[in-house]
Amino acid sequence: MFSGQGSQYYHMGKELYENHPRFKLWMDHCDQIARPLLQESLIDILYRQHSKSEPFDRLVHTNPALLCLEFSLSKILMEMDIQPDYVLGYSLGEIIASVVSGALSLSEGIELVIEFAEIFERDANPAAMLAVIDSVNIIEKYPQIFRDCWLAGKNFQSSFVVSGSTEDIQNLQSELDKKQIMSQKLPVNYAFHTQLVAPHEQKFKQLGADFNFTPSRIPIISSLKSEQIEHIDESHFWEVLRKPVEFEQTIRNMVDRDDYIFIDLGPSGTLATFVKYILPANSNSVTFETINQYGKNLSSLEKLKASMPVVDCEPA
Amino acid sequence: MKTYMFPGQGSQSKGMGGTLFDEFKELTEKADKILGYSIKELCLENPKRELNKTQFTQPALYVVNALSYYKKIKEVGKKPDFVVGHSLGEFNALLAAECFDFEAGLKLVKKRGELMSQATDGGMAAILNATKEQIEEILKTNGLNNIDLANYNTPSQIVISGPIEEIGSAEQFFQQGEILYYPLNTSGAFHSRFMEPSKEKFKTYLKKFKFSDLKIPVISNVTAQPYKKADVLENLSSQMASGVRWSESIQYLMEQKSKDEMDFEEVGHGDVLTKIVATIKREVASISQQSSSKEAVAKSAKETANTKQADDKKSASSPTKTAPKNNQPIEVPKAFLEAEAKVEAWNKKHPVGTKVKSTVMDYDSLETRTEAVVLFGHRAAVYMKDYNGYFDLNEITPA
Repeated sequence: MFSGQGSQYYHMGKELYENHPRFKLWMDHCDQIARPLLQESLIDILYRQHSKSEPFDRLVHTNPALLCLEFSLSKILMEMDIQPDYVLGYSLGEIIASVVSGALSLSEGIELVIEFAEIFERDANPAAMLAVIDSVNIIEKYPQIFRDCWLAGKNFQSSFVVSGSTEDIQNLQSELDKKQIMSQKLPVNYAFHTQLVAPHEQKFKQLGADFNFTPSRIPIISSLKSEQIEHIDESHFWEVLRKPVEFEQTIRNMVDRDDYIFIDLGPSGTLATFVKYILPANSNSVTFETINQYGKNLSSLEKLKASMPVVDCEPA
Repeated sequence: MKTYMFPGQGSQSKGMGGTLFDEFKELTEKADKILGYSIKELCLENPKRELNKTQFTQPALYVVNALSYYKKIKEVGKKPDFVVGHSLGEFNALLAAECFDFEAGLKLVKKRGELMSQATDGGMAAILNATKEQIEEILKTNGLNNIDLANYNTPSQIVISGPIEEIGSAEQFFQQGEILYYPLNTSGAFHSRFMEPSKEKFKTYLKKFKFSDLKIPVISNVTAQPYKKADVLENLSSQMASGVRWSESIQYLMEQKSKDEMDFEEVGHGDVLTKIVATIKREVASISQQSSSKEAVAKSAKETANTKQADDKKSASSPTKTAPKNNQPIEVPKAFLEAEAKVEAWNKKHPVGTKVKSTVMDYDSLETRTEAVVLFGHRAAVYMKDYNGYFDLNEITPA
């Protein structure tokens, strides 16, 4: 599983970068591709120029940073012989999943996420996103306070995301505080997954049309469509940015059919947490995170390897 | 001096060609007639998702490359000094050299695309940071006997090609040290022995065509040397079953400079080749600096080091214009044997991680990061940690 905007922070993956030579190689390889486009080193931005606690919210940096980090993590997992049967992305994570699946080459993926970030930085009005820790039903219960905001994604039973203008999100958060409903501002300055991004559709699709989408080597599950998808193209990616994320439904659809080992390749382990809450009590599916912001990334990587069940793989 | 380069498969994307089809209506109509479908619709709309299918990709790229070239010539009013094309792009290089006309070229490419698309169950993968010799050794050691080296893109980027299962199982052996491996999305094992049947059929087809004398020198993918007219039939058929020697071709062209450096310009859609050429220049820059005359280098050692730094920065943001300063011919067998002997002697005595210093430059705390290898067929060199470049064995000594 590949997470999107909101899961990033400065120094994500730094411990691995310094201690895991193969991870460093892949990150440096990504950096080499990104550098001419950014005019500076992504590694410097991620690991050298900022402290861990500074908000990491500049889209033109966070987009390629998430892609490069999650792609590099996927490579070292595969090198540990943890091979995915499916890839699943959340929002921007859908683009990352496409790169990992081979539907889009790494260099084109990096180019795409940087260039679409440039469109937003240039044209889009600043906005905000808020994760709310409660049932999505409270939107109907308190229509007044949610009036100027849009539902951006459903994470699990008691977590959803809304987008809106900076001011409206600010107001919403104080109203939620009054009702003692927990919420958390995401480090994202645009109202993704809502009609506020609609004006950028044409530019995004024009940009996307320049890329070379090919059949994937690994089946892709879309958390926009809540099911496996066959074709990736710029129209799909546009819908991913424009429409709400149906993460909860996607996981439900999957575990209704089969048991899975869910591995979160995002930097914060948030998707693993969502899945934990979504899985029914009697489920045989399990979920793991790869790294998180609290350190010991190397040992959690080893633990992950150790916890992988030994399965007799039947030939596909 | 100017070289026009024409890209091959991998450069296509929806929207390519843009307004060219309207600007060159007559040629576009001719193309539609030969192909039996609208080339403009395929390139701009791709309604049936066919653009990534080899039999469609190849004619589409050929037409876009050709129209881009005609437009370019119209604009600048001058032909280039050399032309070269990557795989399919070589047909556009030959078209530019007037070896055949637009329609004949399109017929050839259409046939080539059809034949190549029939090859299924093949795959390709890119390998970074390994030399040809290292890759061959790893393949041999692990019994991967059906994989061929397909594209020598840059000194450190080589593409392999073979049966899809072997390309899959090869991955585990290329995950050591500095080596990076990633599979590519191609339908067949292009530029490998698995194209032999297609190659034979293509050769038969090629025999129906007449080829004219080349008006511009064309560098061949197969030989990395200029074409001779007599080579056309043989080169164009064997091209699909043998490796694309792109890195050497570019280095050959870099050495053809007269007063000024060779200027490379990509004609067609995208900038894949421009990026590859920038990487080749960056990778050979350190070696060529080493191989300039020792005196000159020693004299300006500090200056060179500074320039090198500046170049590194520049090449990160834009293709660097720096070309190597050497005029040695490529692939002299005697030179290869000598280099090989040097490499063997070095590796016997000095393990990876040996501390060395440069005898001509101002670097004293260097450490080798690989075994020594023969580069470009004649240079004994070893990769240096932190410096991230190859040093000539003649110009280093253990510290």
